[in-house]
Amino acid sequence: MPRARELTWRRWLTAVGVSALGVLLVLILSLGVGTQRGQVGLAIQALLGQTETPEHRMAYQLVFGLRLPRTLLALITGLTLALAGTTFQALLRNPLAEPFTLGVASGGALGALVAFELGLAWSWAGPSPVQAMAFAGAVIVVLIVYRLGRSMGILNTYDLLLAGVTMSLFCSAAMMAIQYFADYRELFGMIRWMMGGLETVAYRDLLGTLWLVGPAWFVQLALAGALNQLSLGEELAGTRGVRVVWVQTAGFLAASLATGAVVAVCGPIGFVGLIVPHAVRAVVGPDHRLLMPCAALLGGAFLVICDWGSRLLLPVYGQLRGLDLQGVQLPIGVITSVLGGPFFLVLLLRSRRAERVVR
Amino acid sequence: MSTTVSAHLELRDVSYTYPGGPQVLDAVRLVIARGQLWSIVGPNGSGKSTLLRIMAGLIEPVHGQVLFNGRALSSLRPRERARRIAFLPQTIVPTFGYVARQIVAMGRYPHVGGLGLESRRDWQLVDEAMAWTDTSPLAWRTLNTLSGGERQRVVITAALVQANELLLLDEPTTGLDLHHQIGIHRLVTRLSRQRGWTVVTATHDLNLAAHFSQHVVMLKDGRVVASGAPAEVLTCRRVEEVYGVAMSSLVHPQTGAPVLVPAELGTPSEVRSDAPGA
Repeated sequence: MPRARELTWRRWLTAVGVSALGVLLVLILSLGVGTQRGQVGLAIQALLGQTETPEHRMAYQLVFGLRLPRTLLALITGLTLALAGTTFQALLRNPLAEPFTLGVASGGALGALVAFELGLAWSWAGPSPVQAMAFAGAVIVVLIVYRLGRSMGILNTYDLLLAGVTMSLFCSAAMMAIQYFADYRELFGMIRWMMGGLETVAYRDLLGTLWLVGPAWFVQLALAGALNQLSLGEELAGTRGVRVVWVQTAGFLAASLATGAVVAVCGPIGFVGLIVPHAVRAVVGPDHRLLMPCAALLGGAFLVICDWGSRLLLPVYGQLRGLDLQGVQLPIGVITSVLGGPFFLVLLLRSRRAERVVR
Repeated sequence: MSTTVSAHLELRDVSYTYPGGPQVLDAVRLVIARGQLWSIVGPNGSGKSTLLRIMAGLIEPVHGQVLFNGRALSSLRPRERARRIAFLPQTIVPTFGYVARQIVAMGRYPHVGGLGLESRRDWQLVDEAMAWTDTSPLAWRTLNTLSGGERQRVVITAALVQANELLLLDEPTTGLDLHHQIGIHRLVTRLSRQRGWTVVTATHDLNLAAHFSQHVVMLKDGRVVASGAPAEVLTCRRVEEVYGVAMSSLVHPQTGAPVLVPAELGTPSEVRSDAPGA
């Protein structure tokens, strides 16, 4: 075991390559996952322009118009949340931190609820008002928390946490007030939004999101070496040549804004940003230069797999019980939490045991 | 007012005030020669940590100048500074289960950069340094399984592969048992003797400071009240003045050097009757 801990380019390429292959495999499989079987073959034939029957066109539309963009959104979202979770855990030196710790999701949810309450739950060619308001809410919270956390030229992690938790509570209270006054149709839309979902996604939405999160991914990955240093404390990092405030600011803003962008599209999808970093850290170790790319890729794959559950669980259950649940989907936020909770506990238990062995 | 050639680190009238706070350092002047072992002593809040942070370049003085090798310390870029000056903070909080060898390798950061990986040569330096500080047996232990003293040794080893001339230690022996206190001081002494590093240590232990350093600076309320050879600075009268505790001087049986102990501890019966539950 010992020598394997040296991080070489070879080990880096192997681990990141395996993760990337896993993502690719999951992506391909994902095209075939759904209640209707045998669609991929037809769709590919249609793609190659061999035949033009209605079945082929239907299959083409199903696979490349619905399943693929939805899968890509799951990938982008999982990747963003897992990466942001890793960044926050390092910046706050707190293994319990996750992308939503500092109130980003609450801000987004409040923005979305305001949009619902104002009757803006319609969509048009472009980001829907709900998405736009959700992103605006997230950005406002991020900026407030940042302003409160920054004093005397440094970014104080305790102040950040305190400000984030307070903003979360404030937003929750405001959300309850809005829900209390909402009528039942609006209320349904709100509750459904807060469960998180990947429905009704077009390539247009994907591109819009990618423009925001893509640069944020690279900023965070580029900070990996500095985050290693920061996880031992700001003073030590500062004397090792890390520009501490700069790294904290860039990391915080990149992770927060990317999170806000995916929350705006998918709603708050819990647990991914907390458990994926932990699970991957348990496998590849705590060095952020390896941890971050692997956690990002595997976070993406994880959410794609959760999305399979979202698509299949209810229809399969319906078939077993003789109910018509075709096309009924379980919100993905429910899946990640139901899958994630026990998985995380097992992981915790196993690492405890391993630690005892080492001692 | 010319700089002597041998001055490694020179502080010229350095003052520091935390924004909106009281003055922490007031016109501190020090000339530290290359290869010397210095101790900074003084009561809590006398400005020791702030002084070290200024020497490390973590903060810049409000007034005055810090010269490193005759040049302004602030003119060095952070990474260049890090390759010369290493700093040991009071506490290292272990997060994320890095093993000791990784912690030491992190000291290579200013050489490797944020985007690179350690080369074979870097790992060789890491292993040599760990052998030199007797931390090799700890290599695969995570930081949270190490004792306080072992942790300090590991982080000092990281300093060894990071920098090459100056080590600043902020109360490195606070909270350690006697064995580890002596061990850390011996290690640092060896670093100075064998490798020619200049070492500046902030400490609360006057007797160990006296024994292990060539020069002692005593601070009170941000001012240097005495600076010189240990025996000159650490006198009973001065310690009484600065700490407000009456002291007696004994003679160390081995070195013959004076050892300071508090003179008035109360009689044993008083102490016992003050004890809780008495």
